[in-house]
Amino acid sequence: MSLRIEQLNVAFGKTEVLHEISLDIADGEFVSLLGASGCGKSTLLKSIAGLLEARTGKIQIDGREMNGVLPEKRGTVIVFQDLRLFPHMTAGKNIAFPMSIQGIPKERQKETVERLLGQVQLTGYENRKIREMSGGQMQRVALARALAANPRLLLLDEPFSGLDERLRAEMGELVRKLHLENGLTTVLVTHDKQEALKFSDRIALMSGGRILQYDTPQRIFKYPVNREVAEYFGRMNYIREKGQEIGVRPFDIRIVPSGNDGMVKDIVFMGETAEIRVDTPKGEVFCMLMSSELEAMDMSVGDRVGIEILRNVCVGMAKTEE
Amino acid sequence: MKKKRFAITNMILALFVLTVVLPIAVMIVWTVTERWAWPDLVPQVFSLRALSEIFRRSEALAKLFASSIMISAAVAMASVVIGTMTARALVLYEFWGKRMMYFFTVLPFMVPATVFAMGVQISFIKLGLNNTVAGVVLSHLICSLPYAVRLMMDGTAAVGDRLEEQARVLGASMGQAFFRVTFPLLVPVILSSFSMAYIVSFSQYFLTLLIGGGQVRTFTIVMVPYLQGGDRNIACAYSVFFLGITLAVFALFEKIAGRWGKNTDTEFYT
Amino acid sequence: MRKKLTPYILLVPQIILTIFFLIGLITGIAQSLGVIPAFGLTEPTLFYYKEILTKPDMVRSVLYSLRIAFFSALFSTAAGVLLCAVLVMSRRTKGKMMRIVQLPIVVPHVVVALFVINICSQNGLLARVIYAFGLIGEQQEFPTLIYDAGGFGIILAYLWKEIPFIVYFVIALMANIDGKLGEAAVNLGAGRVQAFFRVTLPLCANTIYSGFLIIFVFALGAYELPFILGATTPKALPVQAYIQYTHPDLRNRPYAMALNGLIMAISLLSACVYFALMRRSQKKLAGK
Repeated sequence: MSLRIEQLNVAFGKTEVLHEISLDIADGEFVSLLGASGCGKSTLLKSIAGLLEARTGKIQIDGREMNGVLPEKRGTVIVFQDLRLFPHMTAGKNIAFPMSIQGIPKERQKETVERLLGQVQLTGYENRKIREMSGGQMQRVALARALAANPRLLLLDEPFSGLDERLRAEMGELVRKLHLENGLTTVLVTHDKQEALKFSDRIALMSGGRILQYDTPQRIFKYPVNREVAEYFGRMNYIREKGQEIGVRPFDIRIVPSGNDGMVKDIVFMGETAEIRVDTPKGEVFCMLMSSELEAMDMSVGDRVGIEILRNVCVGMAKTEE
Repeated sequence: MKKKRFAITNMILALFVLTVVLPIAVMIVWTVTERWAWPDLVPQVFSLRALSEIFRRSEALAKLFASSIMISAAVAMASVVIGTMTARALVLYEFWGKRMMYFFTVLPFMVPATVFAMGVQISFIKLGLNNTVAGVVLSHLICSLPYAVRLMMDGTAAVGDRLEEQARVLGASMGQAFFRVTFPLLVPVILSSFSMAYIVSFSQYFLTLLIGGGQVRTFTIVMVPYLQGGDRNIACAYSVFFLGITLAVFALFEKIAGRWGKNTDTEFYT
Repeated sequence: MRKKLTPYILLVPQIILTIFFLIGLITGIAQSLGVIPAFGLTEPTLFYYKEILTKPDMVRSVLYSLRIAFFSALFSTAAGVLLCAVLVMSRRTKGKMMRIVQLPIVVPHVVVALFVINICSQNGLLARVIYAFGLIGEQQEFPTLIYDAGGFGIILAYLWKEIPFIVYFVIALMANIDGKLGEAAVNLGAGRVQAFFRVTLPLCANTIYSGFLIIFVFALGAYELPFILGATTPKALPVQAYIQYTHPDLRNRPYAMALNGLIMAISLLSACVYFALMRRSQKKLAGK
């Protein structure tokens, strides 16, 4: 199922929340909507699903215009951040809900519920009450329920918030697995850049209701369109070189112990990696390297060292426009 | 100090319980009394005359039962349905005129029913509603509705529309989402609203007197002549009968609400 | 758009009923000003209002009703809040105690009138108990609590019903606040009673005022209890209004409506006072 959004504008009352959003997602793609809280990602999700109306703009699913199509008819299923499991139904009944809406016979419902519970590793949980389940278990029921609706487009709104790191990683893997197994076009909303980088075919970075850049993880990291995008994915150094300002990632700076570009101001040990701050006439520079490399260098604060730029991110990068 | 306060609070509570229970007990005693003259603290002669009398006139009793309880039940049913709709509009939607609408729902709290009744009777006469059960139900409804709206607004706000949103994206239509997801969670507060609206309607005297004329006889209408100097035993017997039924039904409601509420996770009061 | 119309569609029944209510009020006001097309009266006048505010027995009725309504509301609210506090502080906000509280709410006013007659009349239980203690010699010595000009019996009847009403109305909020903020206050060194008066009670003030207002307006405009338990004179305002309303001489109708108009004016004035108080205490809360 393919999704195409053209120049979407969404407002709440007088406040504009989404500006001129354009996006296209191919069948079977896994796309992340990445951004800080309040940038409009959840609003975009709800607009795609038809829960919010757009002021202007088009949404097309498989080429069909979605304007005026009711949410229940779009085939777009959302897994919300607060899960929204129906408290008066068991896990099994929750999962069966979309199927009973479609009028699928009870026997098949039962089979599908069993199969899906197996897929999310909750075999045997059909009759569990919602309030008897842990956070991670509820997540998985919510996912299974979404799949039971046989969606054309799976929309996940920060589904892993509130989980500890290990569970987050597990759930992320599970989503990726389900995506691959079912060939499901998936849109994941998250503020966690690691998740986005790990799982996505493409990432749409959003800020202030707009899409700043829409690209594969590699390209968005290596060729950010502006400062804001670059800084979202990692720290940036800005160095004036030949009348231009260039951006360099800390890992792309090599310390040359024999050089004389500047003085070491601070050395910070961070476990697997270490950070070195060097004061140069062109400004303060952060360099990141593996701790093992640092040990080999035998450096201390106050030493004079040289800076070598291995690769810059973008020459002549303009400051982000408001 | 703590012991003293303990004693005081217990005394207050005991006094309260006494003032509530005593009149009811006295009424029950009167029901089975034949003669209880001054100055005895206990009846001289007991009998079941009053009770048997009202049951003997079983046809009249059945008619009274039907009109009183059916009228109030109809009012309560309508109050709950309309109250749920109104609450939904006021809680889940933003629209022009919302503040004004909310004001209109609480208006009957601010103006007594007697004022409304005497003002509206002419219009009821013109509409052919005067002296009819329908007119009585309508006038009761107008005065019971604010209570139902208030309770349903609390309940609707507590349940919210998040679960309905989820049901919609899972393929449910608006109606399916409401009836299969929201409504089950509203049942406890619906029962509360029903009870409250029922009580308000059942208590009405003036409205039934004025709008119903002599044609609509409810419990309160029948009671007043007895209170003005009729057979006290009969008045008590009627009261015990109708009150007993009301309490039994409400106890049933509470049980249902409790059992129902156990299956849900949402937390709100009844 | 379908979505935009939905709230209005949902509100149709409420709107229809509100229209009926407003028709009742507006008709009443119009008639009180002497405008009754059916009788050929079309000139608005304040004549009827002047009459009711100057005739001595009307004035007595006004004072009588105001007194009953005010004291019923005042004592019910005060005692209700006290009872509520006791329940909250002794942690008996659920269970058997609350059942007892809910009992009077279910009882219709006419039955409460019956209770008052049973217990407070000169032939009632209370008189007999006093007699048994030897404090009076015969029935007539027991003070007339009902059918008297003081309205004492009526106030008692309202107290019986409205004290539990206040408890029902306020307790959820009070328990909630006392639980969280009251605890915090005690933690900071306040005694429980202190915490109650300085933290819990002020925060419940708005709800308590609401309760007072509801009882006041209700007692002012209610017919049942003053009709059954009241004296021959003075008559309560609604009783007077009904007498004028059912007067065989239809030209008395505007008198009835003027009395109703007076009741309405006092009710709405009280509501305004309430809203003003609310606004002020909300400003105070926001300021803090």
